[in-house]
Amino acid sequence: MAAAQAGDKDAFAQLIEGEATTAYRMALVILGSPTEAQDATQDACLRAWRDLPRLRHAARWQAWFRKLAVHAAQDRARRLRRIPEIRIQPDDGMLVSDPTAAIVARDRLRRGFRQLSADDRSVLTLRYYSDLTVPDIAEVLDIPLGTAKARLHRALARLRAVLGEDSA
Amino acid sequence: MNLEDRLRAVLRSEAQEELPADFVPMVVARLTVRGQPKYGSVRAAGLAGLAAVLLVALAVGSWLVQSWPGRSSFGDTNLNEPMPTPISSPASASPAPSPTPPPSVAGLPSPPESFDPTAIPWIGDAAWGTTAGNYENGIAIGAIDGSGYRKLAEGHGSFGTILADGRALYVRSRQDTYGSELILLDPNRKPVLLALISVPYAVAAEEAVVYAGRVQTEGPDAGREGGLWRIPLDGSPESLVLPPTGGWDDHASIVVSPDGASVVLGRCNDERTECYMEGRLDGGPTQVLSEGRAIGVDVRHGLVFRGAGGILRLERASAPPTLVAEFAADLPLQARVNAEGTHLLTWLAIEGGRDQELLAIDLRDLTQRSWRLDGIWVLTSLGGSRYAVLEGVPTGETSPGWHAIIDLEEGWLGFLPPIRPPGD
Repeated sequence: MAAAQAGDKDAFAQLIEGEATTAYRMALVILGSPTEAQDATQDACLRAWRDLPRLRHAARWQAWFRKLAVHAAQDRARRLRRIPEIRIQPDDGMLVSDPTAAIVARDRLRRGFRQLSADDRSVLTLRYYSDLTVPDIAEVLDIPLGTAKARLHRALARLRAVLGEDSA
Repeated sequence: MNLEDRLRAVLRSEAQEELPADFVPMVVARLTVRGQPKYGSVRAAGLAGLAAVLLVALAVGSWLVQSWPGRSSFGDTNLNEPMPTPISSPASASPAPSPTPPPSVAGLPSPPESFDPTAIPWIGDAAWGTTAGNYENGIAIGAIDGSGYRKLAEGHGSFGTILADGRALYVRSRQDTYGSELILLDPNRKPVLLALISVPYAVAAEEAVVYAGRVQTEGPDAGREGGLWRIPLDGSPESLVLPPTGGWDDHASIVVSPDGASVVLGRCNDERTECYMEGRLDGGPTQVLSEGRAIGVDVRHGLVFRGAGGILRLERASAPPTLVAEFAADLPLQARVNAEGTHLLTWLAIEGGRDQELLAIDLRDLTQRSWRLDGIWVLTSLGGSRYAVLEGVPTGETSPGWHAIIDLEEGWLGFLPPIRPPGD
């Protein structure tokens, strides 16, 4: 850690080697796109390199990096709302589908999750994918404990609404 | 099962995949030196005037190519020695691409007057370029001087390959986990969705055939690799080259000889700590070939791969591989075999990552040459057999689209500014 903080790129590579996959998978759940998740993970790594000298407690590295990754994924999710997906030109050209490449309908719950906002997806990901406690979620998202509880509750409620399920 | 448990199961099924093996090296290659000016203050200040002059040159639409003869070393190398020693030329002589042309070419000899950038095989006269910003990529075709420029696709976080006949292969990421769409773009026809694939993919046989891992779209294995497939671009029937293998379904690499006689698929375990390769060499039977990560197929249909001790070559499935170049296992090495299989090109950060070295090994006689650049560059698959082409990685301070070009025969190094449509 000390070497990475001092600017040793090899040492930094070892640091992120151990965390990048975890961060990537978390970003993948939030973003739903491997490419976007890779970019978000890269954003987190570059930010970590920039800010690493300010990390005072080496033991906090994992949590700190996870925080960067979640924020990077949220930033990308917000960007995605502004940047249209790939545009194939000419614009009026219809894609000619290969019949063998037909895509099966996605799972209903997965589709419902994708309809939620980036904030809702993030809090649900931290709770139900990363298995963080609510206090840990609050720390990662930089929000008070009460706010974290409320966000988690609201996100689940919105997911139920999207799915047309009664709240249990 | 309640909603929380169902959600937990779905989210965990969404995130099974690994980052590409070269992810961390690529990230590290983008790191700047903390607390130091991007290019070194002395150099940047001293060359600012020249940069301004070159910017004017750009403004009038002229192409700039600066050569750098004498920056190469050449000679036989003893393979028992450690990694080749960098040449003793002036260090840090060429910067990363910037909004202005690379300034540190000051005082260096002019390019050969006979050099014609349009002769560089970008693959025919088509140009591949990053079209906007750090995060948007695209494919455009046109002459290298910008005439006839036409965007075929642009968007967010994707890539592709331009074929010799002017068509392009483009990968569009899906928002679900079922792989990516491989799309054939034809300037004169509608785009065609070829298949749902996993990346990487490889093209071969006069660029008329794509070899790619297909993604299963149905059943309990939906979203997982469905083996290696041969996909003709003319709509002919596809064929399965290698079936999926349970537990080793992470396709780490696909390499194909230009004639399609050699096809090798690299597979790794989930942790990517163990990788092996299977396929066929020179039309031989399909079989497990060796442990390691495939890089390319050489002119004699030998498989060039990264394995124990460095980069090796397997010329026959029944014979042991031979060492081509020695590299430590943990080096963040980018390597490829050029299209004709005559050269192995490696791109490696040295001396703490600030400088990088391109090493070209002639696979016919194992002679070597090397060049050093500073800044952040990525080795591309462009350049045919004669040139190595590196693309500048844009950062907050630098613009995208610069290319460094190295003539493997004459030894000069030059830079091409971003390819832009006229008037852009």
